[in-house]
Amino acid sequence: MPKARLGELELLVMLALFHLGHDAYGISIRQEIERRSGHDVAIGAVYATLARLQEKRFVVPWLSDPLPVRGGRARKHWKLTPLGERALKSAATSLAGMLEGLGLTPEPRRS
Amino acid sequence: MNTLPAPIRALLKLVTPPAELPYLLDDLSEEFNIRSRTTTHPRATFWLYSQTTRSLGPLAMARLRARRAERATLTSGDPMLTQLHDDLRYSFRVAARRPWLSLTIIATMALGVGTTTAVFSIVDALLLRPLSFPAPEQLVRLASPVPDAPAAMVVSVPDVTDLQRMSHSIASLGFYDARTVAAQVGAEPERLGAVLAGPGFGETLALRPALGRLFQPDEYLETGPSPVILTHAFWASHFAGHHDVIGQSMTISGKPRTIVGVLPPLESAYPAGVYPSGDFDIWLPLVIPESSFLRDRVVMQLSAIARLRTGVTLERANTELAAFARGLAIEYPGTNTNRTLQAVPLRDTIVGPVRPMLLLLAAAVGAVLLIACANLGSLLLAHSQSRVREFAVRSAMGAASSRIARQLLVESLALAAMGGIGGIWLANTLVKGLVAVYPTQLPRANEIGLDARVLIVALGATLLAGWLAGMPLARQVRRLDLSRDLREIERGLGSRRRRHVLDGLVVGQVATSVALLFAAGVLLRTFLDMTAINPGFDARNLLTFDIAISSQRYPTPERQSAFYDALFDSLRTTAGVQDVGWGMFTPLAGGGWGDTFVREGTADAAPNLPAMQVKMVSPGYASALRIPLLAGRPIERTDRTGTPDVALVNAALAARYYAGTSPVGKRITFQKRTLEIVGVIGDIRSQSLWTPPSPELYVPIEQWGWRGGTVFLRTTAELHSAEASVRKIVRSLDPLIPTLNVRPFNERVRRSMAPERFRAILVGTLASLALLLSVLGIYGLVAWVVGRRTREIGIRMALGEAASRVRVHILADALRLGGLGILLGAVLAYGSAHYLRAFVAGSVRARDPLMLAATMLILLLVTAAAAWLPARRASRVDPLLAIRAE
Repeated sequence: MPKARLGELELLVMLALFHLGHDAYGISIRQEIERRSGHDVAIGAVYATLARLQEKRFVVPWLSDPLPVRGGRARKHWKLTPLGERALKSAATSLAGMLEGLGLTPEPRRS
Repeated sequence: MNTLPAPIRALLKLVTPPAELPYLLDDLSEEFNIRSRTTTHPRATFWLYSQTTRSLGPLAMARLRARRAERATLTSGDPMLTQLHDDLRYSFRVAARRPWLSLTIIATMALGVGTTTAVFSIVDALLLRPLSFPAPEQLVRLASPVPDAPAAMVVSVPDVTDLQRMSHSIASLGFYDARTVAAQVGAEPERLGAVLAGPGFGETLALRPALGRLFQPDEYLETGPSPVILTHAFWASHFAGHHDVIGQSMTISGKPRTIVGVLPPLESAYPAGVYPSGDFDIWLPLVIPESSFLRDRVVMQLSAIARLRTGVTLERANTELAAFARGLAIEYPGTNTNRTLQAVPLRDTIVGPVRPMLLLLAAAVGAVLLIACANLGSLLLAHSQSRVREFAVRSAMGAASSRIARQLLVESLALAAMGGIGGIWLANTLVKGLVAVYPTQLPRANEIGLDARVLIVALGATLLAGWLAGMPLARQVRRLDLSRDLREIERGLGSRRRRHVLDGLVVGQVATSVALLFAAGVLLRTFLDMTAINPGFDARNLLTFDIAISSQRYPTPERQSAFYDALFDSLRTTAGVQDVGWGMFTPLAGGGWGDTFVREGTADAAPNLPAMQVKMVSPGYASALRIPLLAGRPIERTDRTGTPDVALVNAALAARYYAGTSPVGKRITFQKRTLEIVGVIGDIRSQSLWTPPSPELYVPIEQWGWRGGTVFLRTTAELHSAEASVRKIVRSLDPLIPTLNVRPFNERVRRSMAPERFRAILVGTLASLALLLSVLGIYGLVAWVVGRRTREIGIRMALGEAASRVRVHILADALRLGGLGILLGAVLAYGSAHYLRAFVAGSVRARDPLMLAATMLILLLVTAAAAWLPARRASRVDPLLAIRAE
């Protein structure tokens, strides 16, 4: 069990990957974070975070087929590794533990 | 699709990890496009700039991290080693793609490195490695050269004893001699090699016994105890290395002796020098009784070894010795006029005679290695022509020319290394062969072998060869002009520079081969000349053996004579035996006893007395050897103790001292006895085949009371059965007498020619090797040139040129090169002929013009033959195919 703690942005990116599934790539991740958390995250920060997570072996990239347009390029998609999923669950557990009984849990934002 | 403004793209390119950049730009423009459509353009643009500026920091950090990580993986695997690994893999792939070329190169290198290594291991053991005594450079042998015997390494006892008292440069010295003795260790009688060690001998060598002690002062006295010291090898073989040998008794020459010590395990040739066989089993104390003739100043019989004081150079010691000898000559003019004294480094006395031989070998082998290198180089170079395309492609893909050059060097080194491994294996075999071909004459043979030093030389030779061979090619590639080279291929021309290098290599090979082949030819002629020399006796159907009886078991001359009479009577009546005789010295083996005599009725007086070699022989000696009796009568069985002293002289003595008259009936005084010359016999070669006969006096062994020597048995029987009957007869007379060295005399003659044979075989082998390599080289070059010119030849033939003309053209090209090499080789051969001078004799000259002409002709023919195949192939070129050829 990795004891490496996740930073806030790392947690957000990984949660976004979880939500997006097969559709997770740079801009969709950024948008998912913005949509769900309200944070306008810089795309560069998302890339840097993904690189860091890749180093920790929590995420791996995979290349999609080229887009079906002229000059269409492959997109670099990301997915959680089993290690990453475990790390995410562990982080969620500790967060849930900390939040329990505080009555802080707000309604999720809808946009 | 990518619609981002240029400044944004430039900024992002600056900070983003390069691998991520295209994805990042795609992502960014994707959302920007969506926003442009869903909001106003300024808002979208504002978003874009805000996104970009906020991305710069994290991206730059990511890029730094990526860079650091990359550097970490790079440094964890050494790029040089990785490249070397790649180069090696590539080299093996290239080598495997052209197996015949690779095998040729490897075989060439194996031969070159193998011979170099083998010869180095011999040179190393003989010349380079110090003797295994403490401070061996201080050890010298003393010699007293006289004009008649400039090479004699013996001294007079009083001379050297005086020297020891007066010298400032000599720290210690000791006399020694060597002898074979009959001994009884177990049940069987044996003949042992004994060193007679005088006081100070072992101490001068600084030997520390492995067991027990060296001799003590009283043991050198006539009346003292009788000790014996064993050599380490003898102790190991006869006493199984048991430590309780000290104090045990051994019977030597019929006399019991007490074992007092065991020598350390050193080289077998302890006292070395004149006794090249060097197989000594025991040391006995050298006892010189007060009345011994050895104490006479005129007698020079013993060897002496000395250790120079620390810091005294050989020159200083010799200056002192020369001055001392001059003093002696003034003090004792009767004996010491013309006599000098000198110190010779001990090592020189052991390996001295073989030093020029080894230098010759080293030169020959170096030449072979050079040819091998040239061959490897030209094969690689010629082959590289077909790889210009490969180089061009690699260069176009971004390979630096230095990188390609290094790759080529690695290739050449890898091939050389494979050859080197083969060479080391070959060297091992060769060393054994060489030592075996050089029977018994090679001193320190037991020390010859492959060891770390030899392997280092092999490695060095390999690397040098690989480097030398790869260098020209690598240099060329560095200067590779791809567009020009590719154009030349199109036009069917070889690179001109490359062609020049190749030409040079071939000329060098041919020249070296000429020199080597010439040397081999001269040595072979010397050997053949030698076999044609008439030694003055007939060595065929002659069996020889050595015999010695102990004076302990046969104390009186009568009993000794009785034994020999019985022996010869039995031998004479054996089936097939025609003649039996024996003598103190064996023809060709050297040795002898130089002395002077006075002719009766003349004014012969010292120091100008007639000199001769004295030989003691039995009746039947001359007839057994088939030495013709020229006048008078031979020595008879009636010439014994108590009858008038008689002697035979050889033709050389008669010619020199009795010119114009017959010596038969003349009287001479010799050793204070008066002898009558009763006959003249023919000259024989006593010292060696090359040494012309010198005056010799033969006296009856019986009258001089000497015992022991070599028996000569002329028989019509098969020599094997004769040997069996000899052993049986001796055993039946006295089972305790050893019979040794039973062998056909022919074999002894062959042995005396062994060095000449060895040289001829060895240099001949090296020369054949060189010739073979040169043929390969010439063939390779001509084949390459033909290959390059296939198109040109095709065009010329299509235009009507005759095939024969094409052939002649190509042959002439090859012969021009060969001719140049041959001329250079002739100069080289004549220039280096002084190497050979030490080895030629008789009618052969080191600069034999006939031999040189023959050698040059052979090389010319060989060149033509090597060029013939490719030339013929060229003339059979199908014009159509040729023009289409690359």
